[in-house]
Amino acid sequence: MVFNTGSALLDAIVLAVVSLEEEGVYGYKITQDVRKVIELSESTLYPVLRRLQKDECLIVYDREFAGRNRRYYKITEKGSAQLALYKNEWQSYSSKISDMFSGRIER
Amino acid sequence: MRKEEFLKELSYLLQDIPDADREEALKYYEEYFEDAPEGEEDEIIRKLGSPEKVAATIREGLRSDEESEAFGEYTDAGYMDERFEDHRMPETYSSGREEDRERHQGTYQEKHYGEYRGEKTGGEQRDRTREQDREWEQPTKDGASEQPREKKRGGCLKIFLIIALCICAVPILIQLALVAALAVLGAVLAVLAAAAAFLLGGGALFAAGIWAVGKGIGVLFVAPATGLMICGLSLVGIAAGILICCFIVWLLCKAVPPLANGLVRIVRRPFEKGGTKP
Repeated sequence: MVFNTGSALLDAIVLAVVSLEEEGVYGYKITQDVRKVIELSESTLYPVLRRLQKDECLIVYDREFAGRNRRYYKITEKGSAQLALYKNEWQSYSSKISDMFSGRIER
Repeated sequence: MRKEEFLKELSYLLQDIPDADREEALKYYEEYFEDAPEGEEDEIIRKLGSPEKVAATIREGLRSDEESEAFGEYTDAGYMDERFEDHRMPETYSSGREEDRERHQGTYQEKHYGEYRGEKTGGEQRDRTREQDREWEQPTKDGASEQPREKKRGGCLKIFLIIALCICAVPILIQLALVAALAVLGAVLAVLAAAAAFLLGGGALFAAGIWAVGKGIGVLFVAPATGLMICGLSLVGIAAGILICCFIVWLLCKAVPPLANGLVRIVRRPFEKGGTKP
């Protein structure tokens, strides 16, 4: 992809992916879901998840799955607020750029 | 490379970070493999990249913890960190000097934010957004334009110091290496000497036994009982001599190759570490 994904946008995408499941999502699934929309190395997400966890936007918990513990990431209230903010920003940002591209912006 | 190898390698590469952080990261990647569809192990390993790259990514995450400015360092200048990512950007963009690029993007961001804040204020909701926005993104704005250059200078200094340290340490390192080599030589010689002593002892016992049997046979005709006893004891001595010799030879054959192997591995280790691993 020619456009870089900034860390704020990556955070937003990860939060969005996690927020879709009330029970939370596990690491592999998050990576695969994020990779559906942006190109990204599979090893990029670990530090991002860790940081979001540290910033209290995500919490982790272990749930049993197929005889072992699987770590799930769940969005917190702070994470939801952050996601709402990101969505808002994205809306204005992307629509402005789209308008510009399509020549709809007023000079 | 198999997943076990990958995880082992990763654990080896991360041995100097705190235990809790290492375990957490290893658990994540272990689970990652377990959650991947069966038969896709090779694919996953290929996509993850080398353990070195994964380790560098984890380390980078920890480093930004310490500086408590996770956002300051790779904001909108592109998350794809140059150090670990493939270049997929147009040539003209990435070919410029990195510093220039960062400065350029820093100022762009600065301006963009100023504009956004200055003009586009309207509506109650927007105000609330800005409130949160400021709290969350403020470190970014401050950090993005200054931090990268500062860090670079620190890096240069660090490299310089390491080189200086290496130069200063050379005489000491040579002496240490000499001492280590002498110690190893001493140990080897000691083992060989001990083995030789035992062999000699066994041989002497054997020779003495043969000689005593001859004597005993002579005595047999004068005093049969004493002669028999001397013969018997001598034979025991011969047997013991042979046994000791055999045991020493066996011990040498068994113990020397593994010891030598171990020694070679220890000596080779520092040279291997720097190079690429198979």
